Amino acid sequence: MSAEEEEYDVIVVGSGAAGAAISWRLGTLGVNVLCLEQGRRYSPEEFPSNAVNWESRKLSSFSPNPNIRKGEHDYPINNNGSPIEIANFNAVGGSTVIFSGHFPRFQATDFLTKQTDGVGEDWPIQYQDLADYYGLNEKVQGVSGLVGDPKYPDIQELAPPISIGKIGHKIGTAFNELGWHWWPSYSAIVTKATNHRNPCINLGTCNTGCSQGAKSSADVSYWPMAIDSGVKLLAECTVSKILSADKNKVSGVEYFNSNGDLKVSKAKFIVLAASGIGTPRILLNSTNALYPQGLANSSGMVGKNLMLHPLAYIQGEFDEDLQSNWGPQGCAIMSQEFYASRDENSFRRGYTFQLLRGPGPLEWMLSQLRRKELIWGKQHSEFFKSHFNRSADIAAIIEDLPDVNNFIDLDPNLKDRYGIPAPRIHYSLSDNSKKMLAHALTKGKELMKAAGAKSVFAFGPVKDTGWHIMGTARMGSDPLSSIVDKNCKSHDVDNLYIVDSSVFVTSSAVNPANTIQAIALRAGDIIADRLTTMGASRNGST
Amino acid sequence: MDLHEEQFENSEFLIFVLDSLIPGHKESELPSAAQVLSSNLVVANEIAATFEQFNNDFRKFYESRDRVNHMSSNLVVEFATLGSSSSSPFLRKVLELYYTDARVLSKFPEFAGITFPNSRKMPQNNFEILEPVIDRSEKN
Repeated sequence: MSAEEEEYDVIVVGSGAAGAAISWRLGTLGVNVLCLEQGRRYSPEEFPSNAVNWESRKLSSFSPNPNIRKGEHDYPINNNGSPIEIANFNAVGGSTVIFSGHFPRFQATDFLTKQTDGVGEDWPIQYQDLADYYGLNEKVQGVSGLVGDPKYPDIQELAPPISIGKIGHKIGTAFNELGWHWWPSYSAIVTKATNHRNPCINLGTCNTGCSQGAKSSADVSYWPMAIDSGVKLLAECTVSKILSADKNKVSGVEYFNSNGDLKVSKAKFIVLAASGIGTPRILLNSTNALYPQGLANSSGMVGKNLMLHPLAYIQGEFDEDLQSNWGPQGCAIMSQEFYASRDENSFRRGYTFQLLRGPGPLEWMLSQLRRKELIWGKQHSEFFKSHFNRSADIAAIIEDLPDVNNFIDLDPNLKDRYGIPAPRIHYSLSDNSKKMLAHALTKGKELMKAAGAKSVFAFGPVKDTGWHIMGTARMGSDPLSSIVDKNCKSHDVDNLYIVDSSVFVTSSAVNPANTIQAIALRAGDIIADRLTTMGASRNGST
Repeated sequence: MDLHEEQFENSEFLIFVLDSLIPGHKESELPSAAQVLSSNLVVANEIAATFEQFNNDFRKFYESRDRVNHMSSNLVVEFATLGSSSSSPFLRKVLELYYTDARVLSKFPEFAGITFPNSRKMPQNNFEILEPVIDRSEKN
């Protein structure tokens, strides 16, 4: 019997942060799992960082924008209705292959925004429900950082932090001068060699894949162990629909395999882990007589409440060489000084400052070109030498609040190579987000001035940064306003689970990967318990 | 350089433009943009494809300056510095060609040109710098 024909306990759709974590968890518990991934598997030798033209590939085949990348396994996205364009990557390991690895946990208050701040919605689970899963996830992933952060949940175990470098000291000192909180980043990057992983070598090419294997992308961290546990992973398989013959029950998935043939695989449980955009796309495309407006969508809320983390960007230019582009690109130091609501602010909730290492030479020169500050001619090389690596870049991750007017639907015309409708984004910044963004830009400039920057450049929202796609199949107690319950189970369909950032009720103001994986691990335990109750085989399909 | 009508059309003019934008630098042994053109044929083709638009607009600029028969690198640089949207695709490709070239990046080893499996040694962390953060939280 081929892998496609076998009937499984669980089929997981998507092998990224969520899909990898839940597949591993289920596999180690003896559950018979098939994971279908639309992208292909990359080997470390294929990543751009092996060659000097790595930045050129970042603009093309390794662009975070699928509409630029246009890879064989990408689907197009209609971003026309949004000032922020979706960023993702389709491969074994999903978008973690090119994520920065900035890996903080949510705060306890992030799950209670309605109660504490009167905005957003409260989650049906709380921080304590996820605390042990955060710990487990950080252990499997290999997270570095420093314990003792007064603004962070009390955690006990982390690998040594990555070097904050000259740039981290420069900006950390400025935070101190202003009396603002800051702390070394929590990074899904290995800093000590382990049995299977090599430590970070500070190349700074994280966002085009880590050839060293130090960055904890899911293909490196979870997948080798998941496969060892017996999980079957089929790459280059694009799921088009989830199949349902009975009301309240799904039976399997329909997908195009690596040869382009239409196949069906069946399972007792279907788990969607296809991202905040891929999951609603599949649900909305899974229409039939039983589900005319899409699967799990009796509320009409699939795709609604899209949250994107608008980004404010502030760059300070300095006289001295800060070795700006040394070290992991997105991980150095962070500040949660403005994370919580304050009475004096005209907005609710807040943002995280995240110090970024500088870009590579090409990306930096292109930014100078856009700003019309680039010097051409005889002084060109001198301009590069005297300016490059002398900037400090900081991003503010704005907490976006849920809004039903921000949503994803299916484009009536745009389709992928299999004829599956492409997602279409409808998104605008709320007044709250706009005010927060303006505040972050002002405070970011203040920070750079305190650091001694000779000039400061700031703008937002940044167009190509729709990395964090959240809320499009959200969790809740009320089936009229949410898609899944507190256990990630669909309100409408008893054996359908969603475990990616679609289920986020609110967005917090930190990178979501750690929380995505904690939720997925927890859901894995819940599904395994149900299988036990059902008496399913733990060593093969029944 | 004396400019004749046909010179806007030929590849020599592209070489002239590239060398005007990023000339070579003898002392630091940096090549010019034209000298690295053959190192990346994909980007070189994209440069050729985007040059026509640049060239057309440069020609209008040139004529508006009433400098017929007097062409200079300075004029090319002046036009590029204006940063018109129509010149941008070409200029972006020139930068992509130049700043992904091994010969160029090897001349800036402290900045760039480091690829896997080479590594960078980073300074050790000294977290005494965090004491003010902890002190503030204890006071609050």
